[in-house]
Amino acid sequence: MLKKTLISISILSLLIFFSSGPAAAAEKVRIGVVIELTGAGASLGDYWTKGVKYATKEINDAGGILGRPVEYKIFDTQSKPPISVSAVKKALAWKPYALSGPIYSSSTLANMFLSQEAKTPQNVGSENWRISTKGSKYIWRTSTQQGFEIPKLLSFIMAEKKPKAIAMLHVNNDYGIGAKETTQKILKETYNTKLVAAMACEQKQADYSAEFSTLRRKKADALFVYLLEEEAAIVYRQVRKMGLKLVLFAPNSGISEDTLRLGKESAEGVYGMSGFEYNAPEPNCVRVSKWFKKQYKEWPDNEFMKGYNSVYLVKTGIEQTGGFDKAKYSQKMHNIFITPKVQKNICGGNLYYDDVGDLHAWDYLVQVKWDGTHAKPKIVAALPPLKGPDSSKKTKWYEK
Amino acid sequence: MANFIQLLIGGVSMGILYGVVAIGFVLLWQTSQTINFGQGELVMVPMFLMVALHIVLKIPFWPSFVLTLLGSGIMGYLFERLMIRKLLPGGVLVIVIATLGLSGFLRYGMQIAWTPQTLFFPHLFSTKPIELGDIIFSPEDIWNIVLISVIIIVLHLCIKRTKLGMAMQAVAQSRETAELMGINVRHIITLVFVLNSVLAGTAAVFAAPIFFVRYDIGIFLGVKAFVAAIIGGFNQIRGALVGGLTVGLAETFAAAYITTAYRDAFVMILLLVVLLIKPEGIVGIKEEAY
Repeated sequence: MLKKTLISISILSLLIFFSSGPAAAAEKVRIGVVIELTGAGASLGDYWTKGVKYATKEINDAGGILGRPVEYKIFDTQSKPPISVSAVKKALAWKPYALSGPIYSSSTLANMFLSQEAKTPQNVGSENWRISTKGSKYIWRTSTQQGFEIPKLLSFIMAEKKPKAIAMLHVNNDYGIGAKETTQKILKETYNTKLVAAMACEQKQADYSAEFSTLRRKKADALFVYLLEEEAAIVYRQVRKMGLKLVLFAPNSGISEDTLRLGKESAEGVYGMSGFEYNAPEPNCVRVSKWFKKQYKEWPDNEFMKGYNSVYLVKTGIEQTGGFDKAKYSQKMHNIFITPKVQKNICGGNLYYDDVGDLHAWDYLVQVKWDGTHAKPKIVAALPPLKGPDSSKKTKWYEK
Repeated sequence: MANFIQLLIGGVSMGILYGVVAIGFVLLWQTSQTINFGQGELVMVPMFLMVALHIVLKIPFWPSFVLTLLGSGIMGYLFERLMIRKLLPGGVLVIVIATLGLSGFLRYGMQIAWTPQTLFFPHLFSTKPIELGDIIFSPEDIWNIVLISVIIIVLHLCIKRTKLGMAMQAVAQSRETAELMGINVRHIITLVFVLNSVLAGTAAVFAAPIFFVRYDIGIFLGVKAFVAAIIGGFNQIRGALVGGLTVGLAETFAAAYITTAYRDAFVMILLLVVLLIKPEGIVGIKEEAY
């Protein structure tokens, strides 16, 4: 009898022990990090993941989100849109509260319907304008989309550099094609001009002699380099190598730390824009960048800060909701103005999220300077967002 | 005309690089009937070795270069002794699968062991552009073309004129006959693997300033070189060179005169055309006649 009782108690204890697993897991705020861990975007994915890791540690050290610790798990997209779909499926099967990533626009466009179906918040690093037109109430960007970034950049280039013939090199994917469409539209509608050449380039392309021959034929005096980090650095090197005299300008991928580390002196003079710079006049950007520099002996790429913010956005949403209801989260995180008072650690200062999850934030217009050992982005102007409470603010350059 | 010449220089400087990697495919196929799908990684690993020696440890260029070639040679030796020799009796399919596995192992091993980030590598030659009338070109491209050409010519002469080269040719034609003639076939195969790795190491040093150094560059270079070897002729060293130049020029001219998008597609179309019209490659010899 005693033996039977003991066995029953043991089985019961085991059942309780194992059944407590999911319950304990439910106490954690799970974030599925769907990111470019391998493939062409591995370098960016690495920065993003480091950002997620740091933000998670910071939040957990401070007591978690509403008392619950944050837990993340990484799912590799291999930088390929079809793989990103299966990565999101796997991540959703893990029952996360939210998803973080991916960065590549083509991947986000392929997998965003899954987070929408699962009603799970997804904070992405992608910038293609089409993402905002898909009607998802569960997508938020961690950087300004190209439809808001390019007008600001062009307004500076057109006013200050007055180019007569602008050409564009863009990566042949959704990120680059979206940028080409946006640029063509803005040039036509705002400046009544057009690109003299828009050339699609492949990822990992190393020779641009064909593109440069077109630039010469079209007598281009300015080149919009809308490529990924590595290719942008290769273009800067080859522009100098071929002695081309061009005003070079680029989005954040063209002036990011990853690009400048490779481009070095050949990146000198390039104009670009980014919302997150390690030397930006914004305390949190500076703080996390200094931590990164101390930890990894180099300055971070903006993807680090985007990955970091992707976790703090989840914290903000949950705290604003006062609970873990995802539908309420979705409501609260639209048309929200996140200031340092709302979320003291978030990077980028005042962030406004509109009704489709687009970020409207201050961007920094920079020009790259070579100091003999490093290419550094020197901030030329801070440009206010095009929408939201800060959009009415004028900066010195805008007044001019 | 100036435009044409500049495109020609650009296409040849890329093509010759593909060609030198493609030579490895041809050498291994000829002597051991091996298709090495880890060929691109045999370029990637020396790139990282060169960064470790020249950039991280700050060893001057030439000693770093020599040590890199030495390291490449050792890698080729180990590759043959520890893997190929054991798998060779299993046939070409076993080797293809094994080298695909090795390629993944080296690629992701490098990513985990070192970094997923792309690493900087300085220019080897002056980058100050030279202007000749309307033609502007970079000394780097010219030096790459000249030096790689010299390496290929020396290799060709070694194979055609030296006793060792003749032994390699004999093994390529018939391993059994070569063995009956007193040639140590195993020894020759090992030597060819070492030679292939050293060539790949040389290509790595020339390619690093152009492509930068990243763990997955081997896929890109390996595929281009494989296609080049098929287009040029898998059983001829000069075929690899012709194939490399054809790929480089096709990419550049198609991008300049048709469209910059899908430049790889033009190369694949060219590959299909060659396979349909002359399956042995542009300068390849039909296996029966061979």
